[in-house]
Parts: sequence; C-alpha cells; structure tokens
Amino acid sequence: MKVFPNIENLQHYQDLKDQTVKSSDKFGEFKRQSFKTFLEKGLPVSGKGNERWKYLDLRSLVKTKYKLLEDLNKTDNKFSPDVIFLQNAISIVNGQVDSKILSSMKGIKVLEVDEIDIGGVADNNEDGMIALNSSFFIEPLCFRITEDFNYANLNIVFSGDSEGQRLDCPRLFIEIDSGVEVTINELHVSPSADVLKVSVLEIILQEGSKVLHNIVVNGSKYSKDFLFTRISQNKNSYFKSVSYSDAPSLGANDIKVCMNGEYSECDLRGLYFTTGSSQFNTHVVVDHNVPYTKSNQFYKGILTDNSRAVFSGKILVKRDAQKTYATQKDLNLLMSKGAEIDTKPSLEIYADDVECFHGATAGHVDENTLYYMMSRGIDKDRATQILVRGFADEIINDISDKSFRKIAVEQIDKILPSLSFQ
Amino acid sequence: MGPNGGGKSTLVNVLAGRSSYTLDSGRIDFESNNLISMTIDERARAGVFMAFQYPSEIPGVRPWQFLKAATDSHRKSEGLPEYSVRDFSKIYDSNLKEIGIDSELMKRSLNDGFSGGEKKRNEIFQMMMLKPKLALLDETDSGLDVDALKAVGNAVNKLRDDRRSFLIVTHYQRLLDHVKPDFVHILIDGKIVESGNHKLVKKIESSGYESFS
Ligand SMILES: Nc1ncnc2c1ncn2[C@@H]1O[C@H](COP(=O)(O)OP(=O)(O)OP(=O)(O)O)[C@@H](O)[C@H]1O
Ligand SMILES: [Mg+2]
Repeated sequence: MKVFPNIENLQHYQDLKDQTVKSSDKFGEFKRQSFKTFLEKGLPVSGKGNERWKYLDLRSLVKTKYKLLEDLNKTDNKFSPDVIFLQNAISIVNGQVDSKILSSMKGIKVLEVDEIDIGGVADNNEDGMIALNSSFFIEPLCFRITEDFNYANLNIVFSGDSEGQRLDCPRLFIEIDSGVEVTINELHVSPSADVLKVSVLEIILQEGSKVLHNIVVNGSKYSKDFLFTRISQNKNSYFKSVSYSDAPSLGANDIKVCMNGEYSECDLRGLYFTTGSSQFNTHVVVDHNVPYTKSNQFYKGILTDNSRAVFSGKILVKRDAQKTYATQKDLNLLMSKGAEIDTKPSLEIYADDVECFHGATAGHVDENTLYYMMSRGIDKDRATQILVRGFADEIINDISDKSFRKIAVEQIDKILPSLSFQ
Repeated sequence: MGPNGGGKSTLVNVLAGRSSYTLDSGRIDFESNNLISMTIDERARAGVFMAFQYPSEIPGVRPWQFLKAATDSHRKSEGLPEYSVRDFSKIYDSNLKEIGIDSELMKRSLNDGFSGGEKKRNEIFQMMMLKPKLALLDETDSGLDVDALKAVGNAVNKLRDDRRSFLIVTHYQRLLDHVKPDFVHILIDGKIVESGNHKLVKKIESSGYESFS
C-alpha cells in the first residue's frame, strides 16, 4: 500500500507536465520528472520493502488537505523567530527564501543553473518524500561556499506562519570548495499548525573540506517535520552532524552519507526526544564506496508518554571499500510504559578487510541510580530530570557551535520540568 | 560488625529507606520523626546519609552539578536560600582538597570509571558536603589505601559532635584505629547478639564470630 499526502491542488501540479504552468521555471523539467517519480512511489507504509516508514502511522498525512503556497509574494517574510540574532543567517519562511540575501555574504557564491546538479546527491528514487520535495520546492537555494568563508558559521533558520494546512518544501544545494572548513547550523522552528514540511539538503564536500553540521528541530504539537540530509564526500573530507529534535507530532531525521573519496570520515550523532503522542523516525545510512574511509553513528532517544520512535541505521560497505572502519550505536531511555522504540541497526558488508561494530539498547531509568540520587536528598522528579539531562548531554555537548548549543539546551530545559515520568 | 550475610547492609538500607525492602512491623524513631513513613529523599533531607558499599555510576552527570542539586534540596527544606555558584564552589573545593580527591577526577561523570577507592573517597566527600545528623557508612573502609583510610577517619572525626551519630559497618579494626567508637555491636542473623565498647573488636579479631552464635 502506498500513501499520498493529501494535497489539495495536486491536479494543478499534475498539469506541470504539459508545461502549461510556470514554463519559466528553470527547474521545470526536473520537477516534472520528480513528480512522475513521486506518483510512482508515494509513501510506502506497509508490505515488503518499506522498512523506512512501516513502523510509523502516516495516515494523518492523508486526512489533512495540504495546500501549496504558489505565490512567492504571499509570504513577505513577516514572520521571523527571535533567533535571527544569529550572524550570517538565512531565514527560510514557509519553505521560501529570497536568494538575494546570499549576495551580501562574503565567500558565498550563488550557483548558476548549469552548475547545479540538483538531485545528484538526493536521489528521488530513494524515497517518495524526496520526490515530493523535488516536485514542489519553489526556489531552491543553491550556492558554493568558498575560501573567503573559511571557518565561518552559516545559520539557516526554517520557520513559517501558523496559517492553514500547508506543504513547505525548502530545498538547498550546497557545494563546499576544496579545503574549506565551515559550520552549518540548521534551526527548525515549527509553526503551531499542521504544516507538513519536507526539507531536502544536499551537500557536496570537495577534497579536503570540512563541515560541522548542527541541527535543532523545535517541533510543535501539530507540525510534521521531515528532514532529509544527503551528503557526498570527496577525498580527505570530514563531515560531522549533530542533531537535536524534540517532538514534532510526526517527524523524521533522515541522513545519508556517501563516502566517495578515500580517507574521508563522517561522524553522525543525534538525540530524539519524543513526548505526548508524537512519532519520530531516525534513518541513517552510510555508504562506504571506496577504501580507507571511516564512519561513526551515535544516536540516543528519550521517549516519554505514548510517543514512539524508530531508529534504523545502516552501514553499507561496498566490495572495493577495504579498510573501512565503521561503528554504530543507538541508546534509548524509555520514560513511560506507553512509549515505544523500534531500533534496527544493520550492516551490509561486501568487503572482507573491514572493521564494523554496532549495538543498540533500550531501557528504563535505572532504579539503583535513582535511589542513589534520592539518598542525597534530591526528590524523584528532580533526580529523574538530572538523569535525563545527563543522558542527553552526551549528544548535546557535541553541538560544535556554542550559541547554537545553547538553543538546544534551553529547549530541553524548558521541556523537562513539564514532563511527568511514571 | 558481624559475619557476611548477617544483615548489616540490610539494616543500613532499611534505615536509609531503600524501596526494595518492605518492613512488616516496627518503627524507626529518628529525632521527632518516624522514618518508616518517609521516602528516601525525605529521610536524606531530615539528616540521614548513607555512604554506599557500591555507589552508582551516573553517566553524563557531573559531581559538582549533582552535589549542587543535593545541597539546594537540603537548604530548601531547611527554609534557607540556595548557595550561589561562587559560595558553593568555595565549600566544594575546600572539602575536595581536604579528602584528597584530584579535581581532575571530578570533571568526569559521577563515579564514572572511578576506582574502588576513588568511589569511597567520593562518598565521604559527599558526607562532608551534606553534614548529616546520622551517617551510615557501609564498609567504607574496605579497599582503601592507608592514606585514604586516614582521610576518612579525619572526616568522621571532624564532623563528630554531640548532635551527630555515625553507624559504621566494618569487618576490620583498622578504621577503628582512626575513629574510636562509643559502642560496638555484633549483628548475626539480623539480631544484635552482643554490645560493648572498642575492646569487643579485639576479641573478634582474635577469635572470630563463632563464640557469639
Ligand atoms: N532481596 C533479598 N531477598 C532475600 N534475601 C536477601 C535479599 N537481599 C539480601 N538478602 C540476604 O539477607 C542476608 C543479609 O544480607 P546483607 O547484605 O545485609 O549482609 P551483610 O551483613 O551486609 O553481609 P556482608 O558482610 O557480606 O556485606 C543475606 O543472607 C542476603 O543473602
Ligand atoms: Mg554488606
């Protein structure tokens, strides 16, 4: 069975293929092809071959009629969260952005159409959600980060107004020049409305470049946030991603890294914190395509109330990828009887001279530890909060940018006292 | 004192309020409270402290942060304001120095990978910080080197006054060389079979527990 998000003016978009609409769109052909793929794929939710989504209940995507914002001028960027104090900030509102903002940033070069290999890293055929984004993005933000931006931080803030049931499809394509080192912070402030956001970020790391990628998702009780990050790493490059996501009603952190150059290394970490009846999917894939590459996946989950999370991590080592070193770990803290985790680490190894390790755990707060803390006079709620915070810190402390880490810490400290742990 | 399995840890845990123990009958009077009706943390705030035989390792939680939370809880229940970070750190650092714990060690998570002796010292450090009215030390002396033993003895002696009590569970004479007990009790099969003063320890060292059972 396939599920299609209920998009009110789908028919309208189907007409895209006749080039009757928006013939000026420079990505018109790509969108048309993508839309075909989307119609073929939908979002598989049951049956074989649907590992990614089968544990989540996606039916709410069908119940709601999502609308597309077509008119760029409809949004005048009036909504801006109070975090825009961040330097080098790009604000993406309702999935839309004015790419002119880039021209004011030193070291960032907007790419010409023929320089953009859109969909080259994020393959539409991989998942219906990606094809959905590729069909409906409005104006993708495509740029190159050059030497003049070296060691700087780029902040991308995603937000939106809480009007209506909307589909937002932000799309970014970033190329990192050879030898350049940057921090890319991604902050998602979800509107308090049933907005379906499917965001796709493609990054190509050229030889010897280094990217520290931090993601904070501040979900709302109504929002649906699906984040796809697709990375291609060339020789000697380094990619580190640390994400913190709290409780959109439905959400996903979906990362795929292709190690395409020798001596490249990636380190992927994340914390998912689910509350209420939210559902969250973490899907991480590392493809080791060449020899001498190294990867690490380290994820943690804190699950409360009746929330549910899925972790599926995959390490794929191709036949030629000798001397691969890959590790994977997923640790979960279940804070209530109603919370549920499905964790499925997987290894697919075709080379023989490799070292791969994986492991996963799910458990409740340790009674002895709690007793120990309470025996010092700390009451049960506070002790539990301290324990949960300690569990979270191991990931949060890895967010490389200090001011960005503070956003995550403040968020977690705001949620913790409001929770009751049975 | 008493043979293995005699019930010493059980007694200490019951006093501290471990929830895995259920009391069928009786009461535990401590000052004006009946401890039985109080939770572990309430007992702690009323002044009961237990130094664990096997302290927990708590990943991600720093000792400083942990003790600040504990101290804040105690002060709150006494109707006192929380210590400022600065004031607290001063007390923290001076006690740390006194018990002889390397401050580098305390940058790790609480008890995380601490050696047996380091854990024990850390228990006594917490006792020094919280200044309990009743301290329960369950085999704190076992596994300690000579210097640590002396430091523990000094810590107890320094706190010792007519408003505080210590219940020290031990198998050996050596801690008692540093801390001279007012009473020595022998616990076998859950019952105190003999009480006396420090001379009783000598008798146990020479002829064991057999003569008591
Ligand atoms: N949960 C339990 N259920 C049943 N028996 C228990 C339980 N916990 C402890 N015991 C038993 O109670 C008895 C007393 O144990 P306790 O740990 O208090 O002894 P102890 O005097 O501290 O011994 P040691 O000197 O070895 O530390 C032992 O026989 C022990 O096996
Ligand atoms: Mg014992």
